[in-house]
Amino acid sequence: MAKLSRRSFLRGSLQGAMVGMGLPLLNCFLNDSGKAMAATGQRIPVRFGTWIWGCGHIPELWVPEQTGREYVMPAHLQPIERYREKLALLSGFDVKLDGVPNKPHVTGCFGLRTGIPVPDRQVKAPTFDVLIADAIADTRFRSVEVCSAGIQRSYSYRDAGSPNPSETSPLALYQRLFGEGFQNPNNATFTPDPNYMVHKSVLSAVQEERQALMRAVGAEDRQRLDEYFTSVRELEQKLALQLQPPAPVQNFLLPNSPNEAAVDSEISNVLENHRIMAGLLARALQCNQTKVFNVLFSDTASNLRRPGVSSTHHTLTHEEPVDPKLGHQREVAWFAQQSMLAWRDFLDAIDGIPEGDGTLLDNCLVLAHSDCSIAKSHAVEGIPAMIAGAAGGRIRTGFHLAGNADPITRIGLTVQQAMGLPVASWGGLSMETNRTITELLV
Amino acid sequence: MNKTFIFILSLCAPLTWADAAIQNGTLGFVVSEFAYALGPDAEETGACPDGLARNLQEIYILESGAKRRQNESEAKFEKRLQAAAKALGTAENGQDLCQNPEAGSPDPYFKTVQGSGFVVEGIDLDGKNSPEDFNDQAGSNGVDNQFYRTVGCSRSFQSTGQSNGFKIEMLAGSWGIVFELSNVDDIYNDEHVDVTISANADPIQLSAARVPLAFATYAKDQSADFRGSTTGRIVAGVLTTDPVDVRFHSVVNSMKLERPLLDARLQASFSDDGSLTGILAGYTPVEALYDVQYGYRNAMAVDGQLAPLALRQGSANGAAHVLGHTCHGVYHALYKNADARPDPQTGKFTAISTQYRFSAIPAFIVDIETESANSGLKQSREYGSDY
Repeated sequence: MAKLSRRSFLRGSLQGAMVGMGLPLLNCFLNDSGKAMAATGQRIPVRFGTWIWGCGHIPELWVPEQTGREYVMPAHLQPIERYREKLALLSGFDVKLDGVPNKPHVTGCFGLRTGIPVPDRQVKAPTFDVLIADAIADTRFRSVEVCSAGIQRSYSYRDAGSPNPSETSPLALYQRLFGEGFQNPNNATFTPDPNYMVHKSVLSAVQEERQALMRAVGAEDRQRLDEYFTSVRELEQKLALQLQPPAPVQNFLLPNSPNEAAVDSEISNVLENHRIMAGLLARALQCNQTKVFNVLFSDTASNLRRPGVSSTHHTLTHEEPVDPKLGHQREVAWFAQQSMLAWRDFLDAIDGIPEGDGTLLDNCLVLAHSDCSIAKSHAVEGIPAMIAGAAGGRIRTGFHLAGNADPITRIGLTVQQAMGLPVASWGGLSMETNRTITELLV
Repeated sequence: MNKTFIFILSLCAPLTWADAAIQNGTLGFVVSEFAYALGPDAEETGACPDGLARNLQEIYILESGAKRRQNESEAKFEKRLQAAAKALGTAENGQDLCQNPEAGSPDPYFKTVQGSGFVVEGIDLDGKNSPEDFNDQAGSNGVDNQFYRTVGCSRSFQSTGQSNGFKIEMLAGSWGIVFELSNVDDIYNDEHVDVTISANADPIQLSAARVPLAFATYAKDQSADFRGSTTGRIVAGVLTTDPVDVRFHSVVNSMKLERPLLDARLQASFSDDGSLTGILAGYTPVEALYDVQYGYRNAMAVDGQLAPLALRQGSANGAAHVLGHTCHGVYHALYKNADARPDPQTGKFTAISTQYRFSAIPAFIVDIETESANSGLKQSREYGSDY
């Protein structure tokens, strides 16, 4: 028998179509360190994601007093204490408005994600997650967007005015990820979907005509056509993936379909739906359905609410008086803490999957952030952020770094560089920076 | 040797912040703190015997049968509350009452301050002691602050509330105020100084700790509408200016608004640290005050066009809900408490005494078309014309 490789599969035909049978991921495919495929030296893929929670934080309950490795986690970070070695806390980084009117809960979030503050939802797209997806995504889904707060909202934009839509129901997310079109990477047999084969052959014909047309037109038209055909190429790529047996995946278990759940903004439902969606997303990352994701735990103007209460987390930030004894808003603080509990749930899901010599989280770079620092004043200075995961060894964690009012684009620049994008500077005007957060990079 | 050393010290010692700040008789300041000058909380004064103002849902819930019904789901109850509030916020002719507050009647649930026998921040604007005037710190009656009377029973204007924190947009650089004093001979006593009160055309400069920086340079707004020139005097370190109409910018929910102040005057003290702290007081046309603080009827988008109706209407109704008032309630209360600029035909007052407390720090004020980061954003081709 020929030498085995990760790409080895048994070839044959089925109803006239060529098919292959994949092999499970065997230890002999990995190198001694367990970090790369032995035959090719190719590293286990690094995934990128963002995790957003709305309405900021209570600074005295979130920002550690110390910087560096020996910091004490304040009360609201206690739920994630066990992940301190896999986290880099980033406080004190600002969105610089340059006089742009602050659209509450919007300007800060997009300032962080695009490097340019805007006074409305006319986003100076793309957001950095899209730039990263364009560079690394060779998967079935370019990215997966999820919102657990019961509303169709996303802060991932390819073009202004057109957010990448999010899944809001665990069941819908399951069906999208593992329903029609999903090929279990560890199945003993692989059968190409005849529909994809038909589409593929149609596109092949289009491809010949396209190439002929490209040769016939001038440079300017060729450029226009090239832009137009980009979307066609993306479709072809997706089809090509569907017509190949997926690479086998270590320890992959197809998750069960979740039950139909209440999809609303009541906090216990949101937390439960978020837990389920985090688990589904983790499995999708594990079996390479996507390499990029954006999770919206709560909208930036957080609509979370307690059962039987109409006031939401957001409205409470404006309605609730400051408790004179505590020095902050008691109910708002409770919701802020729930956000960190949810973040712990998310980390549990990602870190709970073994991969190589570590976990899935070790091969991820997840940037968690909010839209503002102090929600009642909509302050975009000191927006809380943190990075989880080692990005396959590219990112250093385990410390708290104070930004000292540096532009928050330093974070966006650094994560893009960590994900391999050849970007030297990023952001606009006062937010333009070429200052990588070197403490983060290995 | 020793004599020489002593001589050098005597030359250096008298330098003060004023020596550094005064340039050819000119002193500049940028406002670093700004808020309405108000009185104590309702709980302290007892001036709101009937409680605080209510929003539309809180008014509806007082009606018989309005409370949550047995077997009514939480979601249905919430929808019923919202529908009732929308109905209450709509005039008989179908108009939205935040955009058309004159279409509604005075709201009996919009409570205002009763009585006046207590200390309220501010100064005497009209030189008269009227029954509605409040006391000053020295115990004298005469403080004209009818805006406080109007909002003093609103929960959002209590010290733990949200409405008096609008300086956040100033500190974010969306608007600002600068003062320029010229012909200054003596910072402690000068019988005549010229004073310009202007909108700041540049974003305020902050330190890494987000504290406004002294001695930064700012340009006055180039529009004559946004600058007022007057005269004043300094007595024992207290600057008092003569009345002049001024106008500032404001930003709410990314919409641009204007904050005019008629017959505005400064009464402020110079401190040893170089700051100028005191009161900026005058009268605000009721219609303009309603617009900048409550209704946003004339709010502009960043492209210079009237902001979309949905944004203006939604922002005003949303603010009324979370801050605890009704639009038509506050509108009629502002007119009821107005105390200046009588309408020539009706005799009805059209402006209300409004006072702001402020702190300002030394700055260099220039009168040029600004080249700040803000203007760069406006002019940058890369960012298009939507700024």
